[in-house]
Amino acid sequence: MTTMTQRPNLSKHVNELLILARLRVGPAHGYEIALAVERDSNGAFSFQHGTLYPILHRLEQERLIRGSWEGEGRKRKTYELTPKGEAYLKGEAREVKTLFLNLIRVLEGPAHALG
Amino acid sequence: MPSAESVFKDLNARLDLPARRRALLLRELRADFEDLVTTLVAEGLTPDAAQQKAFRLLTPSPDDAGALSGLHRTRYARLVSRYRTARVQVVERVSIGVMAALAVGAPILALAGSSSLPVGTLAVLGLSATLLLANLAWYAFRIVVRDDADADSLAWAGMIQAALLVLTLSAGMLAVSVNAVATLSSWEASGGFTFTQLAATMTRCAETVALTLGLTILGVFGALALLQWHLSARTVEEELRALLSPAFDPEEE
Repeated sequence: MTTMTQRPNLSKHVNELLILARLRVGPAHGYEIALAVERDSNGAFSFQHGTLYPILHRLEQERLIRGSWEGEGRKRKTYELTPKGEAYLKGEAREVKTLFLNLIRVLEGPAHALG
Repeated sequence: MPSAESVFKDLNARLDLPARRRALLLRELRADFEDLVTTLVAEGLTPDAAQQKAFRLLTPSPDDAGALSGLHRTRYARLVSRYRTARVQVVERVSIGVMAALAVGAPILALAGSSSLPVGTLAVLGLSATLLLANLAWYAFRIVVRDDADADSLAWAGMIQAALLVLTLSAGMLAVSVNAVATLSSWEASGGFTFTQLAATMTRCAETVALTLGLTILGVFGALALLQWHLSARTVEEELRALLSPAFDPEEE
């Protein structure tokens, strides 16, 4: 398992997973992803000033998501999760869950853990 | 609050990419931006508040524009970005020059040894063809492999190089043919020529013509490819202008 200190940029990694998690629900445009992440997390997570697009395009290059242009004349880019992305999300979500459970356990202290 | 037009113009200036790639990015960002504003207004936000929120969520900061540019460069461009540009360009130019010299210069100079065509004529022909082919290959390399930010502006210069290459090679072919006829005529005048002499002259002539014809066809295809590139670049420029105009309407795209 990767440790917290081994993660080069945890917030970036979490943003990746938030995008993948939104796309698990179904295909979406970039703005729909940004809006859904902010709403579903009650504002705890938000893509500030275009951090969304570099992550989206990197995930697309890594074939974890697939982008396609839709519309005659009216062109919108829609993203969907690929099978590779789905498998990646499953594995990473499990790892992040373990990571955060361990973090909470440490933050709450041994007394809390005992009892 | 800045207008959407000025924000996207600023972003366009910060993206260090050729127009084609910038247009694709801006098409996505601008359409998303307009759709998000429409959605938020429909949900009850004022147009100003909706626009402010859309700016916050979607428009990339200078750092993110840099990250986007990096992601959309070609693999080769990303690979060499860690080295000094001037040094990389010298290596690229020398490599392309050597390849062009091998492809054109060497066979033509070899022909000079066996042809009755004046060595000076063949040398000028070989050198011009090598330089023009090297330049053409350099433009093609910058457009296809490096995908430079100014790649779209290279098409015209490339087409001129290709046209000059075709003209030079056509002149070369003409010179070789005229020379072969002149040689045969001079032999005829001084008492005739043998079948061996005729065959040798025709073989040398055919070798030169085959080489130059091959390169001429290459030049014509190069020019056509560049013309196609130039025409598509104009379409992209038009799209960019529409994307950066204040009256952009995604429905009319």
